[in-house]
Amino acid sequence: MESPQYGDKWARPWLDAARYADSHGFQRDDLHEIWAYRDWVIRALNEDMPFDQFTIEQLAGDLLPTPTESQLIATGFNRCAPCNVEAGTDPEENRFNQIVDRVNTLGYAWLGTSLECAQCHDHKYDPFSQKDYYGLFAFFNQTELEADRTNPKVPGSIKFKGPYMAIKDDTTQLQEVELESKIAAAKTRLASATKRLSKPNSASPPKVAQQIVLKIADFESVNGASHEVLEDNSILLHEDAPDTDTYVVTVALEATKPTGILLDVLTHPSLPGNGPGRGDAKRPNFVLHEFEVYALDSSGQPKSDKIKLVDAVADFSQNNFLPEKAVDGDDKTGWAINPEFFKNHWAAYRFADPGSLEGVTHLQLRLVQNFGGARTIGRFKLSALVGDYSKAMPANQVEDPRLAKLREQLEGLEKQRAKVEKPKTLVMREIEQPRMSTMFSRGDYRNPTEKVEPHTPKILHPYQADSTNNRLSLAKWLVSPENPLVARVIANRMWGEVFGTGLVSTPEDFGLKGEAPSHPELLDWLAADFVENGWSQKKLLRLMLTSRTYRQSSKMTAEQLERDPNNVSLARGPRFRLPAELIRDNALAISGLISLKQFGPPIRPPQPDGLWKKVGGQNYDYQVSPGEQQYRRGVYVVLKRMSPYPSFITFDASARLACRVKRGRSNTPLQALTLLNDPVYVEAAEALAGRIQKDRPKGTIDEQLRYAFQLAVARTPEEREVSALKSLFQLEMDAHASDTKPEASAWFAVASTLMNLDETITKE
Amino acid sequence: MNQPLFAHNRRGFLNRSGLSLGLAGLGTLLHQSQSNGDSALKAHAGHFAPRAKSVIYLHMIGAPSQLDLFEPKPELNKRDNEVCPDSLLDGRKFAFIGGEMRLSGSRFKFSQHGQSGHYFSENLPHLAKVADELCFVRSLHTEEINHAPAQIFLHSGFGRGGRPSFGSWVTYGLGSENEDLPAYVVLLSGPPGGAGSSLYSSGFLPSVHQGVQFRSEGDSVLYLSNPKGHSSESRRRVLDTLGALNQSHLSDVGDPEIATRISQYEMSYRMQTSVPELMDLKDESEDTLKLYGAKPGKASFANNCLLARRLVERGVRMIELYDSDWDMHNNIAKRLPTKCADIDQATAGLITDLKQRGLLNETLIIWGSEFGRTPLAQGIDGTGNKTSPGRDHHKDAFTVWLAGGGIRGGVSYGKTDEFGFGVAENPVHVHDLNATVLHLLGLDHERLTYKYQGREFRLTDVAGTVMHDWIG
Repeated sequence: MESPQYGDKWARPWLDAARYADSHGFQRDDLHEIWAYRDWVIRALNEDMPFDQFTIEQLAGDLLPTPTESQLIATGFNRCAPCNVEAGTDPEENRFNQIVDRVNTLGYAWLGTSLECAQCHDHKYDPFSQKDYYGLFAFFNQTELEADRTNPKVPGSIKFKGPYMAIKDDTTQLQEVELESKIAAAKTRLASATKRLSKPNSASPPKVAQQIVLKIADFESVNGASHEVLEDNSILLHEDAPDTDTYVVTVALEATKPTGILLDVLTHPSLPGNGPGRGDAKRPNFVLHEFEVYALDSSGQPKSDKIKLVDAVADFSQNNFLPEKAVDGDDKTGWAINPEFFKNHWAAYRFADPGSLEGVTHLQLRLVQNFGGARTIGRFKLSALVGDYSKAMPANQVEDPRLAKLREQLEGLEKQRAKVEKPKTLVMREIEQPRMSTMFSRGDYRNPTEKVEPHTPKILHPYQADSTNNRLSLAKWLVSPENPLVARVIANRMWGEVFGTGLVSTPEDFGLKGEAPSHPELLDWLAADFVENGWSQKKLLRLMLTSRTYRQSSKMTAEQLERDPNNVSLARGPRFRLPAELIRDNALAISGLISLKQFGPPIRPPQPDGLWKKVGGQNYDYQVSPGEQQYRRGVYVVLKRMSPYPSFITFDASARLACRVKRGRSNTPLQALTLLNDPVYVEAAEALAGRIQKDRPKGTIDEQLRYAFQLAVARTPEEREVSALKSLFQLEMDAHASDTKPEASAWFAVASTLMNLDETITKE
Repeated sequence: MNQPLFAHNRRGFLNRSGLSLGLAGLGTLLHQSQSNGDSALKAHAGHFAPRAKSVIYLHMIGAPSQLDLFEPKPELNKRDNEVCPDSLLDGRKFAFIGGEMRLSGSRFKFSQHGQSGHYFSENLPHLAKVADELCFVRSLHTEEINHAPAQIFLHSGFGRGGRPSFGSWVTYGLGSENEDLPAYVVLLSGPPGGAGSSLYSSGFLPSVHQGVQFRSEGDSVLYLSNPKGHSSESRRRVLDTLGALNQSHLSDVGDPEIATRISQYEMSYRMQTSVPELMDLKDESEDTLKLYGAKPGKASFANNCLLARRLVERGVRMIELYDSDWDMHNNIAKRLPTKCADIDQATAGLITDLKQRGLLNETLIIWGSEFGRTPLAQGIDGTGNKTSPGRDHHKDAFTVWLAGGGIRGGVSYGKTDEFGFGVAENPVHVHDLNATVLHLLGLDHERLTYKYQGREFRLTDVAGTVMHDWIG
């Protein structure tokens, strides 16, 4: 209990209740940063923070007088509510749903009560009215919007806003200061070199040639970006920029005898940093990898051969990213404009054989842009060039290689700085102008009805509205000594974690529809003891662990099973399968691979390729965490709600889409496949095989087997168990007799068997 | 809880001994033993005789346009590109469209097929040939207007996550007929829907009811293959030893959970044979492959349809196919024919094949999506010039069809108004659809409950009416 790992283990049930996860949920399931809250829970448990304080800081840390950073981080509890930022979502609906989630979570986590029915109507079984529901709702109704329209004029646009709080961090601060000064120096060097070396930027296209704007007949973004055609016949992309994209544009060719084609790349106020690229407000670059032009045949189909383009020229090109790279047939090279962002640019190409365009009425153009990171064009216009403009070509300005070198240095430093960017975390923040709170007819956010003041359910102990009447008042009410529920609910849940089932077997429902406590006096006594001991969770736990009830043998006789299969009478000790995270922790510990490093951003253990791919949201490259990071405990494993770590879900972990105070404990063939074949467990078995030989190099097979058995299940094996393992060892040795190291295979088989024992993954 | 409140001293607690909790009656714990992974999946009878044994659910992720596939609207075509009168928009909500709204007729030709005279657009020539097998529901409506919540709503009867999927409810209600394969199998063509794996999550039901994705790449079931360099014989020896040790411990501590674990390890071993055997299409005749347009070794909707039939043959209860890329906010004219080509022949092939093999009458096929699409155009520029119109999300009226397993083929149920904005006749809510599907499987949606969070949860929440008109 005094070890730092106490928090790693005991945070898990609370994080289930808090529905802590590292992503928003729903379609745009982007990752967000809130791991500091997870660390806060671990630390608070390790310090045995009294449960009343633990409650107040999480529900209302931000409303305490001069809150500390830690108290603000704690408010992440309520920021764990899923947030729907799928394009097309109404920000107000999302805000409403998040509050609903917060009220429901409060009900399950503290009151052991399902309040959610009362969102739409008075509770059917328990004495909660719809008005009580919206009384609680009102306490949560005063925080900032977490997702809002990107552009108020564009319906359907929405983006995640935060609010985030930067977290102090000494090591990164130092690095930051150092890099900042290097960056400043690099910027000065680049600026003075630019002054010295750059030529004036002539953004005027070929002067003599006649330009005829090509009318857009059709446009398609292959990756589904939406667009509009502006009055000047330019195409403006909006909404979610896909990572990479290809634009397929059909235009009417109304020019006679065109000699070339002009691509104008344009800025627009709706683009990040005004564009012209789409990916980044600071560096709105694009890379046009291929610019292909096809003639359409009479049936409207593009002909198979590209129209050949030559004599590329652009007003400006990034070093090594020249306009001719966009017509070289190589989709790894292209035209780009770094560092000349925030300006219009153009590139022009001459038709190698203008005669081939005779009779062509429509062209199809394909703009292939596969750099990634949405380095795609935000707005562009196409024109035909007519007449001989070859003589009128302006100078083809290219970034000076000396400047490019300085720029690359600066970019390198900026990248480094971005990596050490201050950690941040999601927190609750009240708005300045309070919103009016109301009831909602049938729980529909579009149908507000009568006004409601923040208040607590009438049936519970009285609530004294104070002058603030805010979340802090609610939190204090919740843990006031008069509350009959909270201490029981928490004691019961802890009992459930220790004994497998709570004294009230429905920890989420102490109401009329829940189960009656099997030992009501015991529950009352535990709750009273909990409060008298200053709400100390460690003391409560110690009380349970040192009890005679807990220390009973978990063996069960046929007669007991018949009479009391679920051990309601507590006539034997608990025996139940470990939760998902502990199964992995345990395997890593047995094998010696485990890293007990604590805290910080989530880690990524190996998982099969492609699991994070799905419709909508940012694309993430799932990279396994380097070195010992991947062997850290399960509580630190990244949780992406719509694609959670499969080996945890298989063992009944929650995807944390909603508050969960009790996990199932199923027993399935997928669990067997996971423990036998998931590379994580295979590696652990291999490591255990190695560990046995390393730790007991001189032992007899029997001694080695005993040692391994002890490692796996923490008891000495019976003779029959040793002999079963020994015969497996021998069979494997025989089967691999011709191998160079048969014992490696034999020990792997033994290790794998031990890791898969029911007893290994069961607490008894 | 309606008791006088009390002070926090021990005597107070003891005196009150639980009364303060306001608990009524003694619940029995017996019906919720810890996991029962084994028995939970044993086939068990439903509430009454079923009409269908298995379900093949074809979900088109993103929402196909009913107005360009099954619902010709002459009036809408006539008034194509007209500004939509406000009277038609009253009270409706759209995800993206704003500003001036224009009506948008279909670019596709429709014709009637079969005895039933069901309409199909030119995009679905193969499906049109099995018109009389299909029961069209033209008046479905839902509560959610964005993909992920609507997908979750369709599957779990609730617009946010955490509740069991439709398929999980079915296996919870009926168990499995096959001891070598999971009871609920998911097949994907294209990336998963916006709601990801939560669409086939077992929610608060035991994870034995979770949908298991059979993948076309890598291991068909996660972690199915033995680790590299370890033979099947070696695995068998490990399992034998493991079984013996678990058995020995079982006789020692007596926990029946260990017996379940032993049988689950044996099933995992059988799956190592049964799953690859299932996924391998090499025994399918040339004619069958042609019927679906399936190509062995390729990942496609057509292959998945054929796999669905193979799963049905093996007694798998619940099969769901997801096909992505139906979210056409722009350029329906070009994109819809491409997508239809992916599914048309395969879907018709599946129905034909099941029928030929005498399986159609016990296999329920459902084709649909999370919602439909608007009669309004999306993707037009400021001057009203069409570049490539698409349609927005539409939750108020859309189409699904059902076939096989107890369904009356040829039925057309429900009507929408002349534009397709709203339901004109016989509205059907998602809960009604789900209630009917459960009914066909022999399950009473009001009695198929699971107690959690103080409530008897149902797939259909507190609603749902069985649609007897669809049933033959």
